[in-house]
Amino acid sequence: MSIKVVYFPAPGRVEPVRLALTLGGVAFEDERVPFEKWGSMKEGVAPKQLPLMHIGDKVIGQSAALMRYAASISKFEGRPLYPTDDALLALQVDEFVDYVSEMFGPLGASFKIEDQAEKEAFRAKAVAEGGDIHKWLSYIDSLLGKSKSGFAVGDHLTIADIAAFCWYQPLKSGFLDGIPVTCLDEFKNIEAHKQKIANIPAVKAYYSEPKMPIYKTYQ
Amino acid sequence: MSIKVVYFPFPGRVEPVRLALTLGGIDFEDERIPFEQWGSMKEGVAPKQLPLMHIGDKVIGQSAALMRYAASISKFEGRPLYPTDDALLALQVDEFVDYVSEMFGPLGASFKIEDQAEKEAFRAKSVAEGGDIHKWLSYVDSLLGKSKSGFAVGDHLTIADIAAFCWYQPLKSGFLDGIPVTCLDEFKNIEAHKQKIANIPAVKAYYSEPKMPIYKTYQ
Repeated sequence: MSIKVVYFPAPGRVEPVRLALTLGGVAFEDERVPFEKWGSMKEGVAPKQLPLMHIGDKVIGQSAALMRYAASISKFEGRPLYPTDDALLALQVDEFVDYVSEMFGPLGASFKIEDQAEKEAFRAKAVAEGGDIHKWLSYIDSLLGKSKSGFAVGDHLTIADIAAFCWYQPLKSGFLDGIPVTCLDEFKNIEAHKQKIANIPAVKAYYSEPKMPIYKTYQ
Repeated sequence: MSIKVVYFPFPGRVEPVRLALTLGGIDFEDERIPFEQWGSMKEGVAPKQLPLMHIGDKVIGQSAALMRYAASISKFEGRPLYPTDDALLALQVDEFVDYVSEMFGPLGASFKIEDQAEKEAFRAKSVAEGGDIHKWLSYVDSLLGKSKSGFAVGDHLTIADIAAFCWYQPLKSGFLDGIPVTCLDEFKNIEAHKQKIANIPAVKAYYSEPKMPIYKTYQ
């Protein structure tokens, strides 16, 4: 069944989908819609949002759902990136992913601020001590610190690791105005985890190809 | 393995967990924390959020994750409320649930508005035509209208139906200041769906017991 991922040329919330399918060796078309093209495209798309995934003749939205699906059908070293056969482990993977995704609340809100200075101030505050993104980075950092295996959940790579890796690294890329490139420096466990995931050969290979400039943040 | 759900005496985002476990005949303790007690409790709870679920010796958070788990282990008429063995159907269930939960963005933001008049005005605008909650009600209403079976996804009851039922009905309950009790009237498919779910005997039985006043909205 053919798969096509449709999103902007940015990691955004869909990057774990791309990485999961890649690690699983699942062929997919990675359609990247230029931002300026979205305006005219939007009216023809029912939920008026991206990402969308074409799976055979179906068109499905909602990045969190797509990520779980991509992980369910992608095996890495013989194990699916989402444990469909173990409800309790799946719950812990979902829980971890949802804690990481808490950052999209404040981050998403920041995109709606029209005044550039106000937007940058809002973001800077969110990632500083006491801020709404900072508190979740701090919590995840503590969870990763407690992991015996070094993986986010359990003893092997899951979509929980991929989500943390894909969603956190752009914060320090400099591509988000107002968020300093030093914003993750204090989180030693997040950094150690990043190194662990970035150095998986298949991950390294995927990000060594310059599909988009921001991919440098994953190296 | 013993299960305890911990939340406020309110449906909130956790209600689908309670209903799914009930429909599945799974024993659980339903601990409802009075709002005024939460302040002192909060510091002792790592993610400083509710709901939490105690499963054996584990304590897990994140309502969306808990809901998927509850649905995975709960069978209704012989089928789990979340199709763990069918990744594509699970994706469609997740997608639908995520469209319904888009409403929590604006609704959650409204709880943070301290000025009562401002809060009520924000909410009223969200559920009126052009508003951020209205657009998602409209979209889900159209999806339900396309269903041949009358169920949200596929041909049988899933957590997608339960989520829509549990999350939408409180909007018209009058318990949310600023949101008129007429806010769902124009959505005929949402109303038809509500009737369908509310009239399932096990659902009817659950809400006929006065666990909390707002449960009237599910009758």
